[in-house]
Amino acid sequence: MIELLAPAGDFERLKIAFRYGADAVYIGGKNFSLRANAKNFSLDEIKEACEYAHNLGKKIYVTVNIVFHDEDFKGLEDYLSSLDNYGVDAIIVSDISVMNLWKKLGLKMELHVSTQASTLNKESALFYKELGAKRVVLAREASEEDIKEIKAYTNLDIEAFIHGAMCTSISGRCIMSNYATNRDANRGGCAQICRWCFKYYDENGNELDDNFQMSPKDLNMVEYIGDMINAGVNSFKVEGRMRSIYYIATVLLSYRHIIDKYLDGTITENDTNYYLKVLNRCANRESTSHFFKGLPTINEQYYTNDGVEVSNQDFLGIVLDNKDGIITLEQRNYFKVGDKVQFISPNFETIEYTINNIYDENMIKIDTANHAQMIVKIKENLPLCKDDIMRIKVFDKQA
Amino acid sequence: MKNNKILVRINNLEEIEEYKKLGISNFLFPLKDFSIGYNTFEIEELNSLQENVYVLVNRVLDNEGIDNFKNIAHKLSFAKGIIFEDIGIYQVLKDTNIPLIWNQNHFAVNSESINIWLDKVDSAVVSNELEKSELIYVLNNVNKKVILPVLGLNMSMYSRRYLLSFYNKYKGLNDIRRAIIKTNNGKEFIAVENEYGTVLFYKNYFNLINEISAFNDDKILFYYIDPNMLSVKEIENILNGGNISYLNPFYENKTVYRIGDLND
Repeated sequence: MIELLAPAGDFERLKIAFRYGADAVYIGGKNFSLRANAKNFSLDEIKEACEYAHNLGKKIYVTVNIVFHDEDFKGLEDYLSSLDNYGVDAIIVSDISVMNLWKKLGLKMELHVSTQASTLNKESALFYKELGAKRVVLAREASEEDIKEIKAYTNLDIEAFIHGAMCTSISGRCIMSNYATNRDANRGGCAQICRWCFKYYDENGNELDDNFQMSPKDLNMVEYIGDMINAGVNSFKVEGRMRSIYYIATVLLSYRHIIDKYLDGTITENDTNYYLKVLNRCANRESTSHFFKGLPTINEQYYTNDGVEVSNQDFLGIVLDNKDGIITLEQRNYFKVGDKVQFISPNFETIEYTINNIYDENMIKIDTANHAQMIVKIKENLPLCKDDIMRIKVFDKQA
Repeated sequence: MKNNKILVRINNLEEIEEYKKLGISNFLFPLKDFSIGYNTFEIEELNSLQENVYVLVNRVLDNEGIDNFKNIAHKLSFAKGIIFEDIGIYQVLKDTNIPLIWNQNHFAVNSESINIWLDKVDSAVVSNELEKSELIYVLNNVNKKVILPVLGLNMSMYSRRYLLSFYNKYKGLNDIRRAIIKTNNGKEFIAVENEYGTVLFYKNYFNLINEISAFNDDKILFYYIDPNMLSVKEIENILNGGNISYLNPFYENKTVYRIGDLND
């Protein structure tokens, strides 16, 4: 089983994730989940998400991955029972007390061990298997050899991150946020202190520099998907429950193509290079493969002049409707007549198009779409569907 | 606090005799190649000591690391206890007679999880990242005696990356392996790097020694002291009521995790 696993911070993202190729989506509830400041899902929404996913033949995993303080357990038993009743396919857990409760309640849903548990060797993976876990989400520090050995030793399902932000720390082993902001990192309050700039002193207190940085580049495994499959990875996980729908769509569509092309033996170097370019363009930080092929070097660190990260305005609009030769879009970034754009969709590779007309909601001709989320129309016969995405053309279509 | 109920981490072997003069007789030694953040000791340095030797294994281990540990595990029978971070260590040692002490950093923050572990091992190190009432609750509800850190520097981050070396190289600075970093809001951390990665310690000492009367002493196996850069004399002075500059941010204020809660 090879699975593309996507994040979703809300229902809109969940639908986009499934539409753009996810086999499963992981979500957080209103409580008990890291990313406490994402919108997250109510129990009713989780139930609805399960129905939605299962109708598509896909899966929902729910993160219950905070490290609990005693007062946090209130309501947990009922919550887990509800998740199980609603058909959640698995919970992702880091605290052993939740694993124990899962077992005690005899729940049907699978137990997956969160990356927060820092599983990096076969013995710790075996420990979790003996507790009943079906899957471990490996620490991001796992190398190709670690993955192979853990798989061979335990035969657990192996889930590994393939794309997105990296903790500087081994996940779960950081409370800098607690110290710097009083926000508890292991209960969902991480303030990403490791991305701050620091003053830097030697141990005698002599200032060396006023811009010390330690955070790494993002993760990007485009070049190694085949190696990961061969190493025994079952589930390919994209990070980012708080990311935009454009990011989710672009990343998932790219990895969907890569995985499928690898599995059917049609992947080419050209594909890899193209998706690398697309994904690099979509991100706001540089990316690399980090630990998979060995320990990271200085080249995997993300040093900026001032800590400011770049974002782009490539995401121009999302298709709401396409009927009778009129495409209705919700604008997401400025565009104008004459712009060269691309449409992306799970239904086709890309469609390139030069905008030659724009109308407002009342079919009054305009030259620019310059208001956030304004509804605009384009008269054109293109095979577009709801939730297809229009982006600025930055690369030639794949050869 | 009786000094014979103190477990102290040793920086160098010469400290042992000095601590013994204070009535401290339980010593923790970070194990070479399996510990990070501290001075470490070879097994051969420890197994001949006629002391109560506890061994710290606080690395998160990859497969090579766990295999290396398996190769030396049989040599650790002299230890009064192994304080371990990586769950794989438990898995390797669970069927031996070596006493095991769970110390999964930042995870020992609720009595339920601690008790699950206490069913498997001999003791646990309770995190001191808890507010006073939370800590008292945990100590009142654990099913076996536990270890409570009462003085030292808290490890606040553990990375597999060489964060100092990389930055020094990037900036053309001297290749130092210990440094201090400071946030814009004035929080300072001591960074220590070795071949297994980098750890950060919050630079202010925590000190719960004056709070010990609030805790259920029956549930305490040891009060743990991590001297870090303090000398034995300085530890003695503190134990005798002397002052030390310290901050107990979590003990005094509960942490929150939703941004809105910060306004409460």
